[in-house]
Amino acid sequence: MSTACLAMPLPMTDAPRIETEDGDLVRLAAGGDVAAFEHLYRRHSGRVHGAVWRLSGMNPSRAEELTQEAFVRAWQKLDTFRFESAFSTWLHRLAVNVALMELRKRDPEETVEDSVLDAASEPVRPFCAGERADLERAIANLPPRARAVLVLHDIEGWKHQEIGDELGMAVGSSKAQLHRARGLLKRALGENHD
Amino acid sequence: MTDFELRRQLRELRGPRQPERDLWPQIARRLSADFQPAAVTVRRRARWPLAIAAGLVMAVSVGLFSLSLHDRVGSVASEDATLPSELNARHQIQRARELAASGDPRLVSAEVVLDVASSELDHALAQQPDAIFLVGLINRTHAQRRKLARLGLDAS
Repeated sequence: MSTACLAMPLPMTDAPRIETEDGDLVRLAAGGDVAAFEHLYRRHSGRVHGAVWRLSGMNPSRAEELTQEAFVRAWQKLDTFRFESAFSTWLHRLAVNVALMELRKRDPEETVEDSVLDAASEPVRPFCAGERADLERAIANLPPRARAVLVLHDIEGWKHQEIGDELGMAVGSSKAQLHRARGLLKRALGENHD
Repeated sequence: MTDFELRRQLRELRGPRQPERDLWPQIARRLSADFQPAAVTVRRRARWPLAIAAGLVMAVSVGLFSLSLHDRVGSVASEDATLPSELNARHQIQRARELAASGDPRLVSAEVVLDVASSELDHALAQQPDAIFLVGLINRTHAQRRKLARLGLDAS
């Protein structure tokens, strides 16, 4: 067995300790301790920012606004956290909700359909499958709602039922949006040139 | 590219991504301008007895108003001039108590309610000495007591 394999389980054994510390910090922050909340921000800002960055179409300034908004909302709602799940899970869910609310405000359904048509009519661009940046760019060019479904399902690991509940659509619509998003993505990645 | 390959690549995108700059200073500024959830919870709890006391004062006000409509012939306003000082008011309250003890049971009930309200307000003021609105409620309770005293005198 290699040394690299021996090193793999370490993050797993750290997880319970981190969550216990999260719980203590949450209790302190709920009592008005801003320093404790800053610890929580430092610990979780990467995961929160990653999620809202992808949902915003990899838009850095929008993602920063959403991250700030997510942590301010978390601060306001700390007293509603019941310790029934990990704080990281609760926070991640809250952040995704903030991003989706933004999506709903900016993206009425009719403009989504227009975006789908626009994206479908765009010329196919060459793509090197090994390049992560190109994949991210292709996702960013997806219509907002299709991107949200793709990001939540294929990257964040949500179920269609959860996505449907959050986005206010039927499970079937979520599946259809995912199918459409994957199709547009593959097209953008240059599958037709293969 | 197959669906499987695409999904594998998408899964690899999952993970943390730090903001390009530190967002904490801006978040901290917004938090300092915001309320603190725990403090709000405590304040809400502390206001329960105040709400009860205020409700009692209002109930007595309505009760006394209807009582005065039934029992009084003269104008209350004209008698306000006969209460020049707090000392006089206390004397009249004492007089009203004596009358109420042997007279109209409605006055006795009103007096009991006012006593409870006054006690609750004093207790609340001791807990929150900076609550200016409590002083207003206490003044209102005292005014109702004076009114009760006048009604007691009229009944005698």
